[in-house]
Amino acid sequence: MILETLTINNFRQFRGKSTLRFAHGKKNVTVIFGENGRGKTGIFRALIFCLFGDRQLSQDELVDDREVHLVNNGAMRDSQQEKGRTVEAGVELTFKHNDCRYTLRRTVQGLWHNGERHEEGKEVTLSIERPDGNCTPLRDPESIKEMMGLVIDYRVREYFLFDGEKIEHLTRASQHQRTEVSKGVRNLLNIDGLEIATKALKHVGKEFAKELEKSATGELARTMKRLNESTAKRDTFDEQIAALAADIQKAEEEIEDLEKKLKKHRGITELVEQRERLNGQIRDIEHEMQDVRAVVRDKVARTAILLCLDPIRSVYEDIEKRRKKGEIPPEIRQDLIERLLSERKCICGREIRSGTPEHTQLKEWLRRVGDPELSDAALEMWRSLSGIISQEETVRSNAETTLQQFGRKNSELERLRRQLSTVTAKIGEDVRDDAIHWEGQRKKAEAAVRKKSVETERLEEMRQELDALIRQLEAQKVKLEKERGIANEMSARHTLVENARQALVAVADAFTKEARETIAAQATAYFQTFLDADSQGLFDRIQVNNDYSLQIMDNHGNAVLANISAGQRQLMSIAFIASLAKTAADGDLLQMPLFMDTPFGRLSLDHRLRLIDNLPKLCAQWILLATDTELRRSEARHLYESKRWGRFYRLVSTPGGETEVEERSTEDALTLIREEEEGES
Amino acid sequence: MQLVNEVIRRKLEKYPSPVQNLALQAIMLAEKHGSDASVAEQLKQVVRQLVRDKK
Repeated sequence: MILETLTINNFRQFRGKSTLRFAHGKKNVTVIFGENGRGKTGIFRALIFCLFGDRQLSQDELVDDREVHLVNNGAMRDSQQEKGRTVEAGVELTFKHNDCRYTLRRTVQGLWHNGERHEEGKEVTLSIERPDGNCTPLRDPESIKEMMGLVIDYRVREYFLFDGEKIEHLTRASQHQRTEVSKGVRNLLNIDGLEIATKALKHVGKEFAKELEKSATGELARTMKRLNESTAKRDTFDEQIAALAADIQKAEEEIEDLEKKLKKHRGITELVEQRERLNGQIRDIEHEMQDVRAVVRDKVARTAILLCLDPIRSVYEDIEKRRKKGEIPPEIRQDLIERLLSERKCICGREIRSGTPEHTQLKEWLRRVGDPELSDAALEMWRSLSGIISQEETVRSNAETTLQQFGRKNSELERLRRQLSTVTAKIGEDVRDDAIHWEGQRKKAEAAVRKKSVETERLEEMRQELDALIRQLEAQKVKLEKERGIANEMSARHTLVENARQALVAVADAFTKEARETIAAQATAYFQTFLDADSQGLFDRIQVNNDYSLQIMDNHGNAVLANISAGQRQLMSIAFIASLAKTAADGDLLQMPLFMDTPFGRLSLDHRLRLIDNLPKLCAQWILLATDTELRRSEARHLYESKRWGRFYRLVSTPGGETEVEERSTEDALTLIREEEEGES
Repeated sequence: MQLVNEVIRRKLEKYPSPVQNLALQAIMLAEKHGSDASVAEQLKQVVRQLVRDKK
């Protein structure tokens, strides 16, 4: 999707019609510039409203849907004089996608009723013009939603259209958000089809397995019966896990809703915000602990050897003693002594008679050399034990470091949880009845999430066990068929479907793993180019987890996401988005815009300049909604010199308190945008 | 957008031809129809045909 124009009519601060044309191609940067309150976020809102029909943005969390007015206030005031008169506001977006031109138009109607202002959605239309000139008009909201879902997945919309100051939330998403985002990313990587294909094969496989069970006899019939029963049980587990996930999602949404209500109560707003922050930190630490737990499992497993170090040492020392004495390996080979005794001749040719001291000595040597295989085994054991003993220090120190790291994280988690419970208790002490009621509901919902999460974990473990049993039964079925020479068509069908399903699962796993690794490597490289010189050496790599949540590792292998600044989180999130876009486009530029409100608010000057230098090369289109404190003359000059800056719009207030959109040249921008004041960075 | 089928196709090359063939047809049907129930119905025919061909 490449944005071409956005036309707004009587929308928010903008009275009448205004059109913005977005730069794309070689000069792919558009700046929409305005001081605070001029309507930059109104433009962002217009885009989101037009694309998805959303009246609210993520930053509107404290506002009721009814309180968000989309129709221009001035136009509404004028209409108040004429009874029954309505005012129409609308947004029209044109964009190109896969060689087709899309025109999406959405309107909303404002009216007064009993002295109160009301707004309702009026209509949405979409027209798709194909390269051959044919045009498809759509008027049904559901079909339009479906069609737009193919252009931009709603679940990853915030990856491309976002508030710069909020994008760091990408690194702090809840479990439910992570699941949704993960689905969106899979769609972006175009592997949804693979999942549908796998499910379809599973379905077909089940049908064939039932047919096979009916026709089989004896041991094979019993195996097929167990296999089908286990598969059915696994499906039940899957359904239960999905139902629990839906319950958790519902409870999490309820918690979010209650948080919004609680926030509105002055006095506890701050506490609720503090709780939110603590919950975010706890989520970060819990996530980091998952990584550390995996390392602990690996390293602590190796420390088991330390428990039997005493007997290991004793055996080692005994063999060592014998080795030093020359008993292991024996100085004289057993076959040589045996030959001398049977030939009764010394190696010098002298005869050895029975009963002589030489004969007695040879007999004694023969007794001592013992079994050569045993001697070789002892020597091999001596080498292994020597290796184990030499690793003792490393194993001990690795385990200690990892356990200490885990302990530190655990203490930190405990501390945060204690703080959380204090804050929660304080919120509960609030005197207002409704707040107490909401807090009680919130606690119940939280308890439900905890209970259902534990239940999910239990079911997942049982499912894994069942999975192993199914694999075992499948192997048994194949073995039995081979043994009995069963090669009928029904069995061949079932085997083929099962093999194809397993192949798709393996291929999907390999593909997503590779994609995650590529995204992580690329994101790390981008992140380093966005960071200032002082910070570049601090981080080793960005890690993309299975659910596409992010982690960052320092040079000592520690996960440090919880401790980096909000600006660094913002850069990290942008690096991830750019990398994801590149992977989704197989190394090319993904034809998607990056539409950023307050792009630089949290960034230092150096970081801003680095983004300006690099980001236009990493995305097909960059649209910035910037205020005068974040885009100053130094940033503007840098952008101008990059030769990527295509269009510049200024939002200017009118005497009536509304806003007009004024297009100016990028050269003009350099004089219109103010110099930074002394002391500003 | 990346042509995942190409990447998947390459990854499926290591599997025996009938497995590869069925897996690819399943993906193509999934991309065309979008729901596993309708894909499953058509896949049954594909499987029968592939098994007969193998014979």
